[in-house]
Amino acid sequence: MHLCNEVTRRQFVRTVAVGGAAISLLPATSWFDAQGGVFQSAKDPENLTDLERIHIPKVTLPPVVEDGTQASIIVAMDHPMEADHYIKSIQILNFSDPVVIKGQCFFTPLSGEAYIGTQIRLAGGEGQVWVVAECSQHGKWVVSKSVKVAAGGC
Amino acid sequence: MRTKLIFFTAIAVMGGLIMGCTLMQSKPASKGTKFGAPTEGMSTEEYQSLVFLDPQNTIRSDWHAVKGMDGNFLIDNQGEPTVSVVDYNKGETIKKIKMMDPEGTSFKPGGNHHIFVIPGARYAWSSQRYEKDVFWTIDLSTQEVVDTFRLSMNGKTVVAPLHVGFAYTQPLAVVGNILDKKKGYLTLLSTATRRPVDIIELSCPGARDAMFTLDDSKIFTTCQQEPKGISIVDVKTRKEIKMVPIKGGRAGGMTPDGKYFMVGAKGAVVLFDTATGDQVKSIKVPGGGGNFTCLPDGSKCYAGLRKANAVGVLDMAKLELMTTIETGPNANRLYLNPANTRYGLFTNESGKSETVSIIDTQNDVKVKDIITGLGPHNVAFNPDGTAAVVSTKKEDVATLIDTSSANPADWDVITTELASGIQNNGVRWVPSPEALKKVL
Repeated sequence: MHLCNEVTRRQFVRTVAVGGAAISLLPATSWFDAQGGVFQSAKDPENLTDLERIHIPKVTLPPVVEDGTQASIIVAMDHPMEADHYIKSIQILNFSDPVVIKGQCFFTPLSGEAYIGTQIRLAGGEGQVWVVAECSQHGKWVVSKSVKVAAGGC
Repeated sequence: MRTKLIFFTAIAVMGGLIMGCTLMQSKPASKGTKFGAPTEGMSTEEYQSLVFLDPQNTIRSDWHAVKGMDGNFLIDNQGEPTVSVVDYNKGETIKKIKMMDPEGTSFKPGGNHHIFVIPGARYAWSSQRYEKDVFWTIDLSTQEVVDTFRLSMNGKTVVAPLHVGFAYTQPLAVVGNILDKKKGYLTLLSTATRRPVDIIELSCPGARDAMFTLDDSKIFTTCQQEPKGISIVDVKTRKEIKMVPIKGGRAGGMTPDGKYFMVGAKGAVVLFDTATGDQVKSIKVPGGGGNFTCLPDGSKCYAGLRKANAVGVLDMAKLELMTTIETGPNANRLYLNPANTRYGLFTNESGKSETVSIIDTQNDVKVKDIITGLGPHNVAFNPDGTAAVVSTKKEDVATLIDTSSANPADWDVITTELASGIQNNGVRWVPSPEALKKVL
């Protein structure tokens, strides 16, 4: 079983109280640096180490989104979900959107797998969606995908 | 003696009839049965002898020629970018075809939007939805991409050439540029060389659904960007004849007899006489803007009413709205079962929807909804009408439905987990490579 929430305005304000409203103006890397450098990422995304392979979230997000109000995103992980080693949470962020944190899901070993399939709202134009996975043993891991929201459709 | 004469005469007549019937049966049907690539300089008769399998933007589809033939479904995975090859007997994806951009370009990957089967069913094109002009040619005998090319030419940049319409008498096809907000272009492609041959400028931007008239003298297209409307082009001179603004104009469709070009607009379906190019009727409908499907006899056409979450039934003799059938969010398009066109699947393509509706076109009622993946968009049946694939744009999987029962209430999902890719969009049935090699 897992708990997956959209972050409320109150939660968001509490979460980013230190950075305040300036958070959305900061580039993503600055925001991650402000978290104390606790985020790890793939050194070479083409050649992942065994540790990186199970901790880097696999993000499925189309490079161009037709409808920014309903952008599909799928986050999957190959990580074990054992009592002493599991993915605690997955968080989705977009720094070009007024509401940066798009959602956060919490997992327990009983969840069986760390997987999210959902739709998020994205601001128009080019942007970068970041996904952070937190492991019970190995901390926070981050990956990003670039996305463009285009108007019109079929 | 007289009795004997009558007897022998009767025998001779019967024999003649039997011989005649046998000869008629053994004579191959010349229209719409041949497989193979079109060639340049083909006569009209030769071109029309090719099997036409593409239902979209083209009225003619020769399903009788492929009945019982082994085949696959191809699904265009716009956001991945791949094309899934589905074996519907096994209920699984057996292959993914990679769709790469031309060397030297730096486009965002993907955008491969819809499969369009070129007459003759030897090749298919995959069209483009992203802000680029790349097309792919797939050889259906190997199910591999054999050509990747760009449509921009003569200093005119094409953006998002989306829906292909095929000519009926000559090896020609046409496609628009749906995402261009300033310019309207129609690109003409040769189905013989499978490359663009000319480009025509329109006075309305964002050409969407371009279709030839049955005699190939004119092309009618909708324009989806402002000022929305239609443009009519003379094929011989390759010049625009006129443009007509239509409020909220979006999808276009041709009636099976080729008499009317229909436009799905805001609160109306607007009909144009294809012979004169004049507007003949504006039928008020709730919502509007969705795609069209007509019964093969042309008696009724079904218009997706996107904002009304319904399908509108149009009486094509009276040119009136007969009724509306409530379906689901972003009601888009009806797809008829080729084995029994009384029944069809209707897609409700909103990201908040996960249903297709079964429609009975005899009684004009919804039979039931079938739960698919999220965002059902396009449907393709196999020629025998026993299976259908529904693309679900908001998922990275697609849905396979068993439609073999004569009672559509029994139609049901086989799997919602057909391996595809995010934004899986266009679906087509094509002959399998093995089946194609036997008839080429």
